[in-house]
Amino acid sequence: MKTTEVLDKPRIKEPTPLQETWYHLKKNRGAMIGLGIISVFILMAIFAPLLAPRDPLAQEVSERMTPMFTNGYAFGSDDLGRDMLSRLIYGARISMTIGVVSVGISLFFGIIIGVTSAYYGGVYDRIVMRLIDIMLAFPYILLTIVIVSILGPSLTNAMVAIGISQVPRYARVVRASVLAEKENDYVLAEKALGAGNFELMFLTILPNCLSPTIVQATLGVGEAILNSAGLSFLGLGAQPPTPEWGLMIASSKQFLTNAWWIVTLPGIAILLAVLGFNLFGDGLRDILDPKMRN
Amino acid sequence: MADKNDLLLSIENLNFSFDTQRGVVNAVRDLSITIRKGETLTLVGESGCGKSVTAHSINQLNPMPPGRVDSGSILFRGRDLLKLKKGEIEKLRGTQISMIFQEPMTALNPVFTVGSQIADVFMTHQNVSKDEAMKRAIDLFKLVKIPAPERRIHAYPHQLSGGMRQRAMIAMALASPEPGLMIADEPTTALDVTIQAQILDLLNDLKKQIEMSILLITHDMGVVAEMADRVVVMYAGRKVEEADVFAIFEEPKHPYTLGLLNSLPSNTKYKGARRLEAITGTVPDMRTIGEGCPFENRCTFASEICGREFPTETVLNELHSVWCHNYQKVQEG
Repeated sequence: MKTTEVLDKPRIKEPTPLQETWYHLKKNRGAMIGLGIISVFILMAIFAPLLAPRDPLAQEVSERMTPMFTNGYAFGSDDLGRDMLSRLIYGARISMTIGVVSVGISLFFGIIIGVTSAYYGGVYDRIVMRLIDIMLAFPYILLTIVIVSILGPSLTNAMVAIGISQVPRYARVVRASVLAEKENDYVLAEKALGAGNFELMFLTILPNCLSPTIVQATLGVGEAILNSAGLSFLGLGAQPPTPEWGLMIASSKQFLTNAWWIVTLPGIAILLAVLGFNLFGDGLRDILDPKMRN
Repeated sequence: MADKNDLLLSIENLNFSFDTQRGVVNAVRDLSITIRKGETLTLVGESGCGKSVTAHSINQLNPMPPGRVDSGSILFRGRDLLKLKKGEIEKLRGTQISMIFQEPMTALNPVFTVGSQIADVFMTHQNVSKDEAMKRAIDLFKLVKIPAPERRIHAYPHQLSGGMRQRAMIAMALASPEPGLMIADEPTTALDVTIQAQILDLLNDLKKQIEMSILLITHDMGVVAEMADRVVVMYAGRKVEEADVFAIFEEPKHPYTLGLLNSLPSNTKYKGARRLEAITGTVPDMRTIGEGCPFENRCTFASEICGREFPTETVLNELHSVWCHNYQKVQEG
């Protein structure tokens, strides 16, 4: 009687993989700090119009280069009298968009290339991977500059360029894990149950390869933000007066000696955003790789 | 022999080989087997003798290339499977021919719940709604005697024990609308003995409940005794003896079959074996087998002719055939 009681009682629900990841994430301090930073930037990006005290583009010539914490300018104003705080908040919007969109582009093509070349193998795989190797042989900045100069300098084109230049990396990560996964019996079992190639590649194997891909993508967002700031600094990304962090540094670098905050604050914003994504990505890697989990 | 209408599957003179970097491996040579409706045929033989290649050539799961069918035909319900288009084969897999695998640890997709994996099979082949598919999955779990099926259906593979996972695999194989043939590739090898017995009982029960035939691949003579109606003994890609299960155990005619039985523990009954006997030597390199009998180099009964040509079939009675030049010597002991 006792035993049946025990059996009938609903046991503690088995945690889903998401819950399990969250459980381990909570114990990883670095990842939580990273997640905190990312959350702040994402909230800033979403609620920019509500948070920004002023119009980020409005110029107030009389208030040029106001120092921090004066005249209601918490972070001061820049060389054209625009509110730095508002510009930084709106800058978060641009940087987050760049990060997500360009990583999205890389992921989309990287996954398709990686999965198909690992799955089909043979000549197709060899040709595709050699092309990928060629792309990897170029420094990414050279590659993006080439793409931007073909498409013309703009924020959208910078996103596309960064996205394309990072495709090889995702393709390799995905290909490597698909190669390992596709030999498993469950793939054969699924095939024996009548699954076609598309189903096998994207519905059976790919979900098993997501962990390294997610880690790579998280780290990639930070890198994309940095890259786009670099491109904008070189004048190949966002164009004035867009409040893009890299562009803000570029256009005010001559004031470093007399108005340090105009140059430094966007730099700190970039630093924090990249740091947040890197901390979070590293934490995720520790958690999703069972070999590194203790 | 069997009535023609009774025949579910017949493999005729199948030759299957693999092109490897170091030469051609003839994995299956001149193999013919038949399976009738509701029958369990077991393929017995040691590792690398072509059992799995034979099974996989039925639903064409062998990697091709490097594998290729050199000749032969595989008739299933009157259709030659080797002549079907890729799409037709895919439709057949999981609807009429299903398969269970050796390793329940790896044969279920680790990132999906077992229930959703079974429901998927219903949804791809039978166009039912998700709720309906889940309901049927629960029914199947009941059929394969998984306790608390409503809860287990939401478990991930790693949350189930090995035996439970193998039951889930079987449930998945049963999710076909018109089960005809179930290929069981060493379904119990990875399980411990008590679970093994349970799974075998389950398969026998299911076979009675659902009219299906089982092609069981194994190297375990104990499993053969438990399950088989008829037995085909394979060695190095060749069929060497075929008989009903009683004849195999009572009067094995091929020296290799005899060797297999003698290497079972505590079987003093067979031809005076007193201690565990091993078959001396190893399986020959599959690339260098000539026209002779592949067992020749390990056979205690081998004579000069064995090295030269593979024996033709000797029909002993309607169920029992042997391919051996010297089977009479085996009889005498």
